[in-house]
Amino acid sequence: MMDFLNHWLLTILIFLPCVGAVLVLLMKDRDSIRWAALGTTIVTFAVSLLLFATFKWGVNGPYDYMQNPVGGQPGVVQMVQEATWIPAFNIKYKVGIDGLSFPLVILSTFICLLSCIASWNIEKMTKGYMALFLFLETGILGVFLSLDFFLFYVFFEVSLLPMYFLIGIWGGPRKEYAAIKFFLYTLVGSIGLLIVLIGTYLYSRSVVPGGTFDLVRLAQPDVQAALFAKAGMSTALAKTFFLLLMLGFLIKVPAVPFHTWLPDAHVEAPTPISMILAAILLKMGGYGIFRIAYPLYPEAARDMWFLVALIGVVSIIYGALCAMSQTDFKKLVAYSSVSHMGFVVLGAAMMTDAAVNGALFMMVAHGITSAMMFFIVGVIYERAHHRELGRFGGIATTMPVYTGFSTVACFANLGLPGLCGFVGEVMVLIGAFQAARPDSILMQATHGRAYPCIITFAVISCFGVILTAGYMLWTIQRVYLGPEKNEHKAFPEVDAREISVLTPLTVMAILLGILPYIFFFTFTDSTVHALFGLFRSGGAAVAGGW
Amino acid sequence: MPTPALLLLIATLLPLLGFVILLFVGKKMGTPLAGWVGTAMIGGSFVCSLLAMISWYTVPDGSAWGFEQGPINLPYHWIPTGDGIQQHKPGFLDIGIFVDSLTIAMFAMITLVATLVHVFSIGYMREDPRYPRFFTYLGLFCFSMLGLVIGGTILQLFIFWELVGLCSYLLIGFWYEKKSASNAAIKAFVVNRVGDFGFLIGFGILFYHLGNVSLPSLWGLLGNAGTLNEGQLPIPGGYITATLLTVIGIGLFFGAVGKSAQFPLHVWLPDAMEGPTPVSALIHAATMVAAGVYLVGRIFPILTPNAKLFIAIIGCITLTMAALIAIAQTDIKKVLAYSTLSQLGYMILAMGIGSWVGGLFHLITHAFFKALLFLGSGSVINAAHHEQELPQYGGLIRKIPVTGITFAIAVLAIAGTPGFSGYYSKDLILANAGAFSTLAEQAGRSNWYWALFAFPAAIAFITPFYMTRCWMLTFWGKPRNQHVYDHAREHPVMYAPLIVLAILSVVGGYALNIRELLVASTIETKKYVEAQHPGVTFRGYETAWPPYDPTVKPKTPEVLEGGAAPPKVETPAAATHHAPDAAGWHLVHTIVFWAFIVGIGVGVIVYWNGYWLAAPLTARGPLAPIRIWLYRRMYFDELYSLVFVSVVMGLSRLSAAFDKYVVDGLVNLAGWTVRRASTLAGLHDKYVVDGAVNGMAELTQNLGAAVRAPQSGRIRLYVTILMAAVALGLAGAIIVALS
Repeated sequence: MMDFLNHWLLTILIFLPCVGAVLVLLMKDRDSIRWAALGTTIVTFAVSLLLFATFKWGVNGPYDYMQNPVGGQPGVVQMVQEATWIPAFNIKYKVGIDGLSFPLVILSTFICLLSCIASWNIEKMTKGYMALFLFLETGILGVFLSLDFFLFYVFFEVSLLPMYFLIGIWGGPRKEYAAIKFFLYTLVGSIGLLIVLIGTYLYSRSVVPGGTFDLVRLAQPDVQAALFAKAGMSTALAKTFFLLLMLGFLIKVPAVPFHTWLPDAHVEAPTPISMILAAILLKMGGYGIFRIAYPLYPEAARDMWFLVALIGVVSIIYGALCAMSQTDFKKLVAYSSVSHMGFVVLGAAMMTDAAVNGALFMMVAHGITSAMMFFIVGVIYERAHHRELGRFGGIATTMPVYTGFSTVACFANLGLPGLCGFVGEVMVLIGAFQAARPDSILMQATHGRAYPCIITFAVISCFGVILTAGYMLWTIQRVYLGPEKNEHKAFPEVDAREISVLTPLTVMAILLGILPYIFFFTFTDSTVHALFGLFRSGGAAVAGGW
Repeated sequence: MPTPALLLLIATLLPLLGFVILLFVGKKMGTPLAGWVGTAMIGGSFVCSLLAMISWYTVPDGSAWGFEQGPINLPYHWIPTGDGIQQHKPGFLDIGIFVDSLTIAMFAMITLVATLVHVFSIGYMREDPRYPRFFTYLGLFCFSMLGLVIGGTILQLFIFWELVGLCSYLLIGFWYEKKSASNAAIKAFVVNRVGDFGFLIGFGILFYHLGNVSLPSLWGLLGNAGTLNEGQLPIPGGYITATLLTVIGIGLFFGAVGKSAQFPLHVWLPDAMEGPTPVSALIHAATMVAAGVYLVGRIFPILTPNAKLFIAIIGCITLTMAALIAIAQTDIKKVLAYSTLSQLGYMILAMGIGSWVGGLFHLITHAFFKALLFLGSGSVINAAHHEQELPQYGGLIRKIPVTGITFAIAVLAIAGTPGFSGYYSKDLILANAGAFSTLAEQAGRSNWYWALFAFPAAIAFITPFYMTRCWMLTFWGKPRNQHVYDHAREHPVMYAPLIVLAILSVVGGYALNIRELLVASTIETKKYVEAQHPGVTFRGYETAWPPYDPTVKPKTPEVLEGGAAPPKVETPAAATHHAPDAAGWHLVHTIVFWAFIVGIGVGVIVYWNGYWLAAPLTARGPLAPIRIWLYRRMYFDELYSLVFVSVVMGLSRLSAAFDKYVVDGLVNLAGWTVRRASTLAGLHDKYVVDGAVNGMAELTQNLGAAVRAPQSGRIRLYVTILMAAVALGLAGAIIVALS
């Protein structure tokens, strides 16, 4: 049984929602469509929980970033299943899991389940909606689980299409504009990805017979060394490839200045789609950074740290400033996503273990809080039919339970200790300070010259916590506090369905905030260490840098 | 787990349990049951704290922990940050339990004051529709505050630090329908966040050097920073310079500046009086605002002399400024708020000049008499139907005598009247300040060091004055608002806690062993650190007074005669303890001792009958603008709103506009360009490419037309032709056959 699971679990997980989508298409009745979709997401979530039984973790566990065949060499990448797909180019169907993907997979199935519940009141073309929704889940899981670059790219694009239709058909008044903007923006990023995909493959042919798209193989130190020595890849080309990859992923994250698709997409998307967009789709960018950009081009990443860190810090501050002056509740939350995802980018740039662990945590924590925030916006929008912050007020008296949930979400979002937002933020900040240590990767690569920049970045990003507190509290004041308004008196309190979405998110926000070690770092720690093994051993430190 | 630690852990978790219970079923319990549940929980905490104290005192000599024996330190790994790749060892962000005599004293004080405030609130909040929620929040606050005090690492301090901030936010904004209340709540949180900003930086720098932030290990590694003004301290894998330690110290202190509302972040505390009065008593007078002082007390051993000087200056500015503003306030709670600020300034000053025991001693005595003052003001406000303005009071002693008398006791205590608790702690601070300045003079440093004694000593005269003013205007003279006077009544649930606090305010100075506990805490720490780090002589609590200034020649005769170089390493206080200390006490006894009589006397005369003397004095002449300046709180709010709020809001609007018009504009421009290009391409396609294609087509068409002529497509014709052909063929065949 265990053996079967080890081989097939991931594949089953990826295609289960797809099967559900087909089922949904065969149904006629609206209610049975909903229940079938919900059943599919529940089963998918349950299957993903089986990973807890099969996934091997532990701080004392395997530490190398390589595949872990059953009974073979130790490595963090586990449960691999592979099959030849396009033999002419050595393209494989290869899926596997490690500490990078594990939390994101669980997060995806969890959020998909909740947003399926949140989709209950979609009345327009329910069948198409649910089918696309489940198809989207397959794409998402495929991105997080595939270990073949080509397969990754396919899933990356596959996840784009359902999203386009979900925004473009079920969205708000400017849905076409938002959907096309989202689609084209991401497509521009994908082109960078495609170029690197082909380029890396071509270079890999002189290292590995027939070339390879295997992401784990390509990241190995011997392959890395051979890419430069034997295949003749120049440093400038590596930097170009790194930049192209980062362009693709930073658009997805999204980082300033590639972020303007996000507010539009969020404002137009229906609530459950906003939840998925913020909680999972943005994480595909962050995941790509840690799975592809950094392991494949660690030296380029080290050289370009300043640029990446700058983008991260600017995103944090600029996103928070923009959020502060929004008048649309949903737009505010969207900009706050930009600000929070800036921490992920900064964490990557700093290349210390606390920062990378913190960035990974931030992704999951933001997944929880942003899903919660968007759902909260959806709840109030359904009742008020507008999202103007200036027109709300006094909701705390009208809907006390809802206000309680919202308060938890807002404080988790602003990084209150004891809730999940804090751990990610503080670890990235500490990691940023850690990068100023003489033995950190950045300090060694730049011979200590990076010190003032690192400290400056760390201090500026600390400033972000003040701004975040400012706009979140101001939001609470404008929406919930103040005297009760007459036009809100008729608003019903959150119903059982809404509570069933909010409660799991609240519980997770608290659990992750109080026991981050048990619920998170036990799974990621060894993988992060394995990655650092790559970053450190990836050739001699390059002098200079930015 | 050792008994006291276990008991204190239970004491910490009980209010949390109360919070959870009230959160879910508080509304069903309603008034007053919810209040009693909350009170029972914190009362249980108080009992646990007392038991812990007994068990702490009764350990035999030679135990690992206990009174004057040693602390209990139980760390717990919370987040890993670098084990495995040799970046840090041990690379963990720990949380944990740390219990020493200071913890024991703080627990007893917090749980006692909290219990009394709970009891008081049962009466004070009884008519509030959100009565259960009030006790829910109070429970969360008590849990957070106790968790802060029991914390064994800076990280845990910070976590609970933020949580008490949250509770403060929730309780200030308790009456959220009022715009001013929710504004004050936001202000409190955001201003505290500004302090946390500094704290995080200090914390980050500290962490990246040590990889560990547990208090005992900090003390062990950096515990002698107080003797270091230049040079460096060795740490594992390197060294840390005195300058960096100063930066760390000031950074961490910034957290305390926010929480303890020191200049320049003091602006939130007076506004925080928007919260219900019991909250002001518990959170904004007795416990939470003192957490900043507690934090400085905990990091005291790692503060360099320069950092301490900075702290002392901030404390000195705060205590002076706040006392002056307090004179001109007309809202009874605002007077008390500024008085709290001023007293917190004293504590911070004490920390800065190295009077560790004095600062924390004052923290605890102040908690008693300031809680009493606030609860007393609550009783007054309740009696006066939520009228808070002093000009509306007068003569209330006849209506609410218990409140009046207990309030008077608190005034005497804060004034430093001999025999009352404030006298002991405040005079200890002033004596140490005197010793500090004496030492500075002996060491030949600037005369400005005397300011650190002169200002607190002068304010010791002002404090009794403004407190007496507050009492006289409330309780003495003729009633100035007959309606308020007529309806004033007091409530037993509310004045019982006042009596308890009044007793504590009297005996807190000598009968409760507070000072002995604090001294024992330093002994325990010293023993523990020296046992953990063999070969280290821990002098963390013996501060170097005051910083060495190499440009100034010492005035001492030996140096003048012998020309010997001044000592490079600062002399610890203990070495030169007696002479300056005696000088300090002498100064206090000659200058400050009669301050309470002077202050109270002037206050009684000036406010004998309302504003009979004060009003004409400040109506015109030089005092009038000063009074307005003080009344408007020296215009700090206006200044900050102008300098910071509008700048941030402006930046934010600018960013949003930039985002909308420039960034998104570029994106849309790109889209537009592509569309225009595609239109051009379309035209090109239509006329050029398509033209060519059409040309070809035309040619083909002409050719086709030529060929088409016979192919008319008419079936009948085809059939006719076919038939004709067949007929012709047949005819031909017949002709051939016949021939």
